Amino acid sequence: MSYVTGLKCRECGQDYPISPLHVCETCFGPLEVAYDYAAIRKAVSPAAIEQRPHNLWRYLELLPVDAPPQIGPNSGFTPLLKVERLGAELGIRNLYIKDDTVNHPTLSYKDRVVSVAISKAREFGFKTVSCASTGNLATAVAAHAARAGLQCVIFMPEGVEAGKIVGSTIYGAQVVIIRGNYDDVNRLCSEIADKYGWAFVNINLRPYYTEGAKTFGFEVAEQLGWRLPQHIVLPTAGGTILPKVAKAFRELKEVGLISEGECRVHCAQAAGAAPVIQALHKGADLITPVKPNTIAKSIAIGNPADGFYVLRAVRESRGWGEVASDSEIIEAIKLLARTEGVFAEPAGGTTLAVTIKLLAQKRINGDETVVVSITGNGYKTLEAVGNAITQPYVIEARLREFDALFEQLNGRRSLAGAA
Amino acid sequence: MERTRERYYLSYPKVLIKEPILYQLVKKFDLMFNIRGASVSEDMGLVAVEFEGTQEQIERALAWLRQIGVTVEPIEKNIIE
Ligand SMILES: [Zn+2]
Repeated sequence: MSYVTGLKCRECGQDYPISPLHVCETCFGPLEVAYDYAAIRKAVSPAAIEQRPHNLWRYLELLPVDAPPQIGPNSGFTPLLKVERLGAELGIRNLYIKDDTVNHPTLSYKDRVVSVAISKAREFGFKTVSCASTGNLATAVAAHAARAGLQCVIFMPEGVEAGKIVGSTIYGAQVVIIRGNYDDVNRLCSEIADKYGWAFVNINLRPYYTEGAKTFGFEVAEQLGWRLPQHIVLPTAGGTILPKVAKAFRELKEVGLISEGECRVHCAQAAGAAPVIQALHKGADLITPVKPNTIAKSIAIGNPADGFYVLRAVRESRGWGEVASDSEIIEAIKLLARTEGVFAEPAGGTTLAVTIKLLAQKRINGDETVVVSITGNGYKTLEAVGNAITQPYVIEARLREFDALFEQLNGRRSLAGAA
Repeated sequence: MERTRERYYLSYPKVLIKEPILYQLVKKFDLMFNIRGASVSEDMGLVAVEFEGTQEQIERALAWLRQIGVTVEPIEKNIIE
C-alpha cells in the first residue's frame, strides 16, 4: 500500500491528485509529493528495514509508488566507505565517502531518481519515457527503460560526443539531436512533454523523480547506524539531490527511524557553473543564471530548476557552500583515487575539493563526522582528466633497459617501494 | 491562427528592472499575458508569466526579449542534465 496523500505546491500549498503534473496551475511553483507520516511511523522500524533486500526500495513507505516496483532491483544501497587514508591525509577522523560510482546499472546517482520515475511512469501507463541529457541521465533513462520494456527517446543538443550517444543507443533508445543552444533544447523539450504526453522523467514526472534522491540520504543515515552525520557535502547541478537529502533526514526523524541529531548540508559547485554558490555568498534569494564553463559537465547547469530550494536547505541546516576550480577538481579526483581506490567523475572531485575548503575555513572540524558524496564514476568521463595523468615510462623489452630505469628512479617512491 | 499558451520565467538584469518591458511587449506583439509571480532583488528581477498568442507571436516576442537582454526560460528552467 502507498502512504502518499497527493501532490502539494511548494509555494502556495495547493493540493493536487497524484498525476503526471509538475507545476502548480495557479502560481507555477513546483509540486512535491506529500505523505501520511503518522501512518508511516506505525509501519516502519529500523529492524524491519534491515531485513529487506539491499536496494533503494527498502524505504518503500517513503517513496511515491503504489506497489513494490519491478524497476531498479539492484539500484541504490551503495557502499558508505570509511576512508581512513584520505581522512588521515586531510585531518578528518571520521570521514566517509558515499560511493555512487558503483550504482547499478549505470554507475551514477541517476539510477536512483530514474528507478523511481520509471516505476511511476509504468504505474501511470506511459508507453514512452524521455529526457534531455548529455550524460548520466540519458544513460540511466535508456537502461532502466530497456529493463522496463518501455520505448525511450533521448534528446541531446548538437555537438555531443559520439561516445555519449552510444551510451544511450546501446540500450535501444532513439536519440534525437536538436540543433540550437541549450535554451532551445530546454524549451522544445517542455513543449514536446506537453504535446506528446510522454513521461519526461525530469519534467512531468519531476515530483516522483526527485523523490528518488532521498534514498541517498536514507542510506547514509542507516549505514551510520541510524544516525545523521554532522556534515554532508553534496554537488548541485539542477538542484535535485541536495534538498532531497535534507528532506530525507527530516523524514527519518518525522517517522521515528532516527531520534535526534543535526546535519549541516553543504553545497559544492564547479567554479565555472556556480549560480547557487554566488547567490549563497551574496546572501541573495534569487539565482542569477550563468553560462557554464567547466570540465565538470555533469554538474554544468546555469539555471538550476531547484536552485532556490538548494539555498533554502543549506541555510536551514546552517551549512555553507563553496566552488572548486577545474584544477582543484582534478587534484581531488586524483587524491581520492590515490588514497582510496575510488575513481570519481568531476562532480565527485568537486565535492571533495569543496570539503577540503570547508575544512580550511573551519566550517568543518577534524573531529566531526563528515560524508562526502560521490555521485558518479570517473570511467565515464576519462576525457576530463586525460591531460592530468602521469605519463608512463616507455622502454624496450629488455631487462637491462628496466635496470637502467630502475636505477634512474631509485629513491623515488613509485618503483623503489617494489624492491 | 491557432492560439497557444506558454509559460516562462523572465529574468531581468539590473539595467532593465525599471523598464516597462511587459507593457512594451503587449504594444509590440499584441500578446496576452498573465503574471503568476514576481520577485525583485537589488540586481535582478524575476517574473513568472504565461503568454497567450499564436506560436509566431510568441516566438517573435521571445526573440525581442532576448535581444534586449532578458533571459527567457521555460518554467522548468534547465532540464538538460
Ligand atoms: Zn502554487
